[in-house]
Amino acid sequence: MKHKLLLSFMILCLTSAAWAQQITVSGKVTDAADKLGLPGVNIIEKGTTNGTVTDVDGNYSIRVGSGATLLYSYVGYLTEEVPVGGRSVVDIQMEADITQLAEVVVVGYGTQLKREITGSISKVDGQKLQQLQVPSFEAALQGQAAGVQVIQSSGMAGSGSVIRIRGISSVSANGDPLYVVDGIPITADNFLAEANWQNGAFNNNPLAAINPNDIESIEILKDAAAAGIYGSRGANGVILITTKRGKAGKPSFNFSSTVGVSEAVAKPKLLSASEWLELRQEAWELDGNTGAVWVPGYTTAGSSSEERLATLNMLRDQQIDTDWWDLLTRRGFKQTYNLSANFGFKDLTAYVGGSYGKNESYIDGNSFERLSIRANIDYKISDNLDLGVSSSLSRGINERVRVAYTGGLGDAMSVALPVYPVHNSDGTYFRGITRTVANPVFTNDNFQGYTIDDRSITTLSLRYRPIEKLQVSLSGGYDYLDQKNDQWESGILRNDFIDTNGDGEGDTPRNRAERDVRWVDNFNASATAEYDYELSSDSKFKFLVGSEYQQSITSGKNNMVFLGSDVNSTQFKDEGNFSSETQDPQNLFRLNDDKWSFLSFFGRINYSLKGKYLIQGTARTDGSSRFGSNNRFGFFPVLSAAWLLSEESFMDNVGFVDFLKLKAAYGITGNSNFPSNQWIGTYGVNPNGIYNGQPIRYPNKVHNPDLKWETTKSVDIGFELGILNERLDLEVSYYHKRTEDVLMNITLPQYNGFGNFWDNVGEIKNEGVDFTLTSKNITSPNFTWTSTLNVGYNYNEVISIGGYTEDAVGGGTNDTRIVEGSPVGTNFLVRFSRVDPANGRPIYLDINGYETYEYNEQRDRVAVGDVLPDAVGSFNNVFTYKGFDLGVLFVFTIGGNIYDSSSKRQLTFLSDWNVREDVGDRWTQPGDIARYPKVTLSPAEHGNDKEWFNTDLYLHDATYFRMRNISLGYTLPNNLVSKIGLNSAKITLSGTNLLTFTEYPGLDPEVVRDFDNVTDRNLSPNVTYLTPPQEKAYNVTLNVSF
Amino acid sequence: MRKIINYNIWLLIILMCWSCDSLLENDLPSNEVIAEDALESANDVQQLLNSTYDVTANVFNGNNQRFSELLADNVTILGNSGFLVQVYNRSTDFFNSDVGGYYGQPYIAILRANTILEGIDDVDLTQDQRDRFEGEAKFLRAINHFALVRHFAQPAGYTADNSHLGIVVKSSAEIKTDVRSSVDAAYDLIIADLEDAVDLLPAQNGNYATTYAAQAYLAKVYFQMNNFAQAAAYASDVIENGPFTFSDDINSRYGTSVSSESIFTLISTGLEDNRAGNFKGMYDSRAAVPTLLVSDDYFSLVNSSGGERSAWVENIGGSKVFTKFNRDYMNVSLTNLTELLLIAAESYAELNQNLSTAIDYVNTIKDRAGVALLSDGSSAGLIISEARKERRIEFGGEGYRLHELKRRGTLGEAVLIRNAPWDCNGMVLQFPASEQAVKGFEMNPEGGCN
Repeated sequence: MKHKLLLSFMILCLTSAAWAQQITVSGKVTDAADKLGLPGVNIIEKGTTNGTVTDVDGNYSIRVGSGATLLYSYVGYLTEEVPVGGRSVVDIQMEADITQLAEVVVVGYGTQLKREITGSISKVDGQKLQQLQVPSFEAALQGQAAGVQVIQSSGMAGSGSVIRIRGISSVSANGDPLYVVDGIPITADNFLAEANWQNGAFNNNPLAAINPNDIESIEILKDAAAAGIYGSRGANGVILITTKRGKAGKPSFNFSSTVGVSEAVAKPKLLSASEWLELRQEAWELDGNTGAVWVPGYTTAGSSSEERLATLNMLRDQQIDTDWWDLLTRRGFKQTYNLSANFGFKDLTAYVGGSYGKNESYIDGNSFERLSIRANIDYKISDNLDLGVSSSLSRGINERVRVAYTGGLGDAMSVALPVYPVHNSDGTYFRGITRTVANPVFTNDNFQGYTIDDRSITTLSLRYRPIEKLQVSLSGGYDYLDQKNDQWESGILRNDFIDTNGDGEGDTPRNRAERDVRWVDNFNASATAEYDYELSSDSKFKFLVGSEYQQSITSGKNNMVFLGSDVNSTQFKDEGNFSSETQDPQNLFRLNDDKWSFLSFFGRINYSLKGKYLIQGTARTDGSSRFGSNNRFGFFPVLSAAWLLSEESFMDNVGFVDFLKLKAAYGITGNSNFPSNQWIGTYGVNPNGIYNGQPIRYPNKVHNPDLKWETTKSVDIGFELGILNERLDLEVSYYHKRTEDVLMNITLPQYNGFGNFWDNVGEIKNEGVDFTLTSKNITSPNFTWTSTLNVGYNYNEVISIGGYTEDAVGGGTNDTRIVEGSPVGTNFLVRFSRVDPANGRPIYLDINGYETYEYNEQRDRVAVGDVLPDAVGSFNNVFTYKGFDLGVLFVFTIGGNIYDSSSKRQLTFLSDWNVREDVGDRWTQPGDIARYPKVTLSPAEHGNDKEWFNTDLYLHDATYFRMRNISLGYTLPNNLVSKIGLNSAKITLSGTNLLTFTEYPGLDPEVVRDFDNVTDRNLSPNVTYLTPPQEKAYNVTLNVSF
Repeated sequence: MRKIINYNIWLLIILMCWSCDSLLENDLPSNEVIAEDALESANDVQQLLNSTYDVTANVFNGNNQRFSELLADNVTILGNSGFLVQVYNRSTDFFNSDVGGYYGQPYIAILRANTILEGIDDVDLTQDQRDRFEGEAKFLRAINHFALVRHFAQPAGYTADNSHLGIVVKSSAEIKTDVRSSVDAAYDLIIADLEDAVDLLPAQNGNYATTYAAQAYLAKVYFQMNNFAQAAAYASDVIENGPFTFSDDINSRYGTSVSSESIFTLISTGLEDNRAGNFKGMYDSRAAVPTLLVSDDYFSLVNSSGGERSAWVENIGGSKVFTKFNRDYMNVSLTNLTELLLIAAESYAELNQNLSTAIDYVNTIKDRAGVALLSDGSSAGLIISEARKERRIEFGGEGYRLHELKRRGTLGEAVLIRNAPWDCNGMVLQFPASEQAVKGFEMNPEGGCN
């Protein structure tokens, strides 16, 4: 240190001595492309520390020796070296550095140049995300990075996606990546508060409240080398979201607006009333009955033959044939408006953005509305001290409807039969003899649901450079989420009436508005220090040390209820209009705080030798309240290296290679995304009168002080290659991850009196290759064509489940299993063999592969498939011609299965469901060779008295190829827009999900059913149960800056 | 400035290290306490005992009774799909989540009872308190085992020595992998627990178990085993010596207050606790046609021989339904004088002893219902058939019929229940998938009833 100071002093002396020959040089630095002034360009007199920066217009002035050479440098531009040559005015134009290697990439707790990176990181530009019209920003990541699987859950507004980075290695712990916004790991819990009616096909998505337009870039940390700095939370990958910041320069504004329409990609093909009755009659007769068949809602199996016949005749006479799907769907209208401003003053830069959007889905009554504002401000307090503030406030209003098994559109595909009218002749809703048959129009008219997310994410950071090459940062973050789940039900739906005239009979509906609310306070504080140390010009170190503390507290209230005849909507819409006496204190309770915390220490060392040998070591120690007392802290080291082969002299002869980098890494990361306080043996206590008015206490958790994170040991090897003047870029990486201590929420045998408990028992392997090829096919000045192909191949295998059986871990909906030797999410089903041509009965295969009429799940289930694809990827083409650009993004999935769980009730076993048209391929008479067995009302005819036949007959290949997005844009010429005072203007037409190629016979091959919990989320994507299909959308976008 | 910031950073880091543990110690939520501190006073034990009653009340909040009725012949079910239809079809399997959800409940009560029995030695208690806690815990452990063994195994008497497979019998709170014991072992523990409870429990104990409740349950258990001498002895002891009075009201057992004839009642009345809503809900025919309907057979029996009780069923537009459960709230009486009178009467008749007392007992019930009485000198055979008829009428919908039919089957009668033999495989409920989470658990055989 002393030497350095001395050296600086000497340089200072020398430059002072040179004062005599000094001249003043001034000029303007502009962007070579748009000719606009570039503010903040560093200008240094070569060989000295003498320097300056350009002002907001790009002007500068500096005193230098008359023979000096000036170095102009600016992030993202090629450095220019210009001899002054005695001139007093030097104007220069700087060229943007378009090689990807100069790209700055956000890594955990800092940034690195792409060329220096030893790990596997995919960067997605905010601009790309904003081009896609999606329900939530993470859905736009689909197809943007190799090895990142994104399944958008359904066509519902605001719905979340399932994201898997390089496979799945968790069972009961959350398998989602860690989401970090501007340095804060944010709340991304899909299961904060879920009422039963909400689960149907989608869980609430707290990420939807984040405005995609505020996002500068998203970096996906895929391997251990990249995610290792996140230690026990990095094993599923990390998604870093960086929001836009102000840039130096004149104030500028950007306005964009998108409007569009949406509809379902497909409509289920169900039988009409007459076809359905005919089929039912066929079943009735095949079952050996005579006369007219009974019809649910009208008659029962025990009704007399006269009653049954009369009903059938009535239904035929009246020709009731209700298309429930049409009644419950619509053309949805979408609109989004964004306005943002950029300010750059001398010491202060700011980005301010505001947005409003309302996105209606094709399901009547379902929409997502978002309002958001953001201000990101950077202030230079002094030369070596900067203050940064990022703050956002947003509200997401999700107008929700019942779908899937909770009703609505799910009913339209199942129990709302075409033989049911919407209304009776007297105008009342039709409810059948039981007064309970499904009438989704009735339900929709008497039900409202909203989820309102209010969220604010704020960070405050100080960066201090006490000496050259040392930067100390202190950062504090606060992520607040207030989630209200509102529902309203009419007294008619609830069958609850107030007796207003005292006759002992209720006459006025007593409506009910309930609110459940959750508050999540998520605090985060970190301190880091970075130091650059140069041993010599060839040998450079970068050190980072830091510590971080995070605490999250979730609290809330349930059952905030208003009851009364004047309660005509939800509390969100209408609370002010309820009379005060309608508040119902019954069952209101404040939830207990659910807290968790992490305390971490971490470090990173980067060493660069001759700019071509790069080594990075990261290490993190994480302590967490989630870990048992015997395993309070975990240590997660990762070592990685890269070799820039193209820098070697022997590569000079290989002229077509511009760039070649080899990378390798080995390290340990973890996953600790599981519930708090599971390790500690506890009693539940309830001081309220529970039984007979008395308080209770009871053992509720098994003590497990060894409970800890999941440990993933990874090996990563890869290369990056740029050839033919970087016309062709290829990135290939191989990974092998072995995850031990996999957390399972084990179902204990119930005779122990405990339900489930958490234990580290399993072992899972993920192995795969990610591949990205970018080709600049045509690069002529007027016409360009760039293609990108991403493929991520993954092999997944459960190595061990610790001696438990396949039924030890049950998800909520329980569609798939964990089976040793098979992938996570294995379809564990009875095999269907064929239909017996003689009698139409289904023939199954028993455990040994012999044919049997008996359907026996207890004995005959085997692993027949799995929901994980072999490969996912995308093929993107971008064409530009003068002001036009055309983008076509295809995404694809190869291999894996979809289990169409609703088929078992939509085909030949007839219950109270409507039936699909493809029931046509069924056995009707001896000798028929058919795909489906004979129709029956009696499950025994299909091999078992229970009516749910889960077999591989309903398991399908999940391969599909889908045109995810097509967009055609036109950028108005500069000279035209500048006349009307604009900097730029662009109009874009786009379409989403317009084309899909698949063999899958169901509605939509991109499917995620409703989830009850994270185990479901890990195990059961690609399972459908009356799940609403994706939407097809057409949009027009206008983008103007001024 | 630089120094200050530098010092602060180091200070921060050091402070963080020093207080590491406290930063990671989260307070437990206010509804939890650490297990090792949870059982320290009489009050704590009382609360654990309350929670054992709480779960026991869940055991009897509908499914227990419903499964029995669906397997027997008093009810039919609406529709042709669902887990309850599976029960009705006598084809439950390990995925039936209604059965699976029910099965765990008695074991939770048993775990809590065992925790009490293992924990009371470490708590400072008076002898009275200790006796009462032990007695109540054993009583609850017994009635929960009894509920399980009757549903998940073939009945007592299915083999001569009851060596056939029963259930896992849990007499300790230890969490471990276990296998099913014989039915004999289950009954041994049940009887031993109830006998201890008779000795330990007080005669008066609020709404909780008393020495009479334990005796009444012994009568039930012995009667189920066709041990008529013991059944008669315990039943008549309670009838003669207990403080219970026979109610004149046929509906008193379904009220919101504890009936004077009820010997052990699970409390479920009031807005805060309406768990029996689940029990009566499947029958409640006030708003719409309920899920469970009355069978033709039972409907005509009650109409022809029910007297006042014919009001308990009704034909609404062709749907035969129960009406006795048409109420907003009700307690669940697990044993009462009506039951004991019929047990005693039938046992005496089987023993061919005290026939006049037996006739009196049956007539007490007939008289209340306003139907013709048994004449003096009626034969033992007639007493038995009339007692059975009264039992079927009185307890329709309450889960008695199945166990009655099986018991008669073990006596050698060729009982057919809706055309299926009383001991076909499907008459026993299947264990849930959770039981085979660990290898080695023997499931029940399935099928064979249709």
